[in-house]
Amino acid sequence: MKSIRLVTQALFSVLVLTLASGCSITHAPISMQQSPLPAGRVLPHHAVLVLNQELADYKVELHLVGGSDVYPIGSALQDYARNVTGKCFQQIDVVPSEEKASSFASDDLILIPQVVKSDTSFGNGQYNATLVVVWTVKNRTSLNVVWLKTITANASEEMGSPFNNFKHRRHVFQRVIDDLSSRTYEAFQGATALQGSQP
Amino acid sequence: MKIKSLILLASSSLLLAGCTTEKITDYQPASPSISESTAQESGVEVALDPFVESARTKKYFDIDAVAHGIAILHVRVANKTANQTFLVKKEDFQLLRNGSGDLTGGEKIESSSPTGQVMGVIGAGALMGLVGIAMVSHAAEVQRNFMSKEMGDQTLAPGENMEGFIYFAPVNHGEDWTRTATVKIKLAETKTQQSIELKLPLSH
Repeated sequence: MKSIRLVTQALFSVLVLTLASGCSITHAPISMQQSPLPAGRVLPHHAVLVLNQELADYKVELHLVGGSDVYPIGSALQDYARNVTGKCFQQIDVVPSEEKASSFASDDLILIPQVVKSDTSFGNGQYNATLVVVWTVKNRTSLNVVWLKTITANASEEMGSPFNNFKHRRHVFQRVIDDLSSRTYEAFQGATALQGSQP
Repeated sequence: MKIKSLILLASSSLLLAGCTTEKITDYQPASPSISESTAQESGVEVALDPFVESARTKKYFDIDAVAHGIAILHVRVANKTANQTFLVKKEDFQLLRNGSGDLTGGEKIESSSPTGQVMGVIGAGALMGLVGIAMVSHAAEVQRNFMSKEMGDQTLAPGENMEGFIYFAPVNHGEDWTRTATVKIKLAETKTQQSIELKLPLSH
């Protein structure tokens, strides 16, 4: 009887602390696989891909009751950008800033991916994630915007049980990167403004 | 002992209650809505459908947006030109109030003009501060849904069209914010950098 009482009190204390703390835990970067993309049209451009520090440092937050989990996904985003543009353009050079991109005289376009927002939720037995990435394509010499596209990727993943829900939390981010890759690939494939040799 | 067990049970229920949040309905307009207004300029057609009915905002956004002072506008843009590409950005949509009276709560009006008040678009991420939903999971899903349905900035090539929602806030709680309101839209042509301007009255 006494031990049951103690366990009940301990559980209640943990519960109250969890609810009251509003704590945020930053996890190690998630290792993600890049989606295989179909062979499609290769756009006739040499392009400079800007992978800046902002992208490299990007983190998503999974809101939970009483706190949140933070997952760094910058490395996966850089891989995604390399993967998709490598499939869609004749040649890709990678630089860390837009200023450096303008010095690549042999390239005609500058490609800039930027995560503008992300959000997560849970409910109905699922984790849900949304990631919004804007791709800006500029003419390297005039710096005019030639093409701009907002890609909104969504993914859901079952929450699982208390024993495996961390795995499911990581899976929802893998799924959102998969959705982002296929949507971005389709967007570049359908970009009429980029199909000619003159941007 | 019984009281402690009840407290524990109630607290656990509080945690689990968040897990019952339903996924919010996707918006797929089958045909132009009766509340839609359209305008065409230099080969670009814009159609605007204000969500002023509480039932519609509850169905697609899971909150009574009108009661919370959020103006929701569904936007469709079609480029019917043969050789021009336009840059369509949310920030180039402005809500104008031409009549008298305040459209907004007052703080978020970006600037004023001789013809009335001008209101800029607000991002989906900033909306939940206005709503104050108590349940964490519900609030998170409502916010994520706003973001997921938000119109993205993009270039529109000849023959292409796009659609999505844009949001203005705060408008007066419970007010029909479309009354005497007009939406001003500026679209820049990418090659010449020249802009075209459209004005669509939402009044009915």
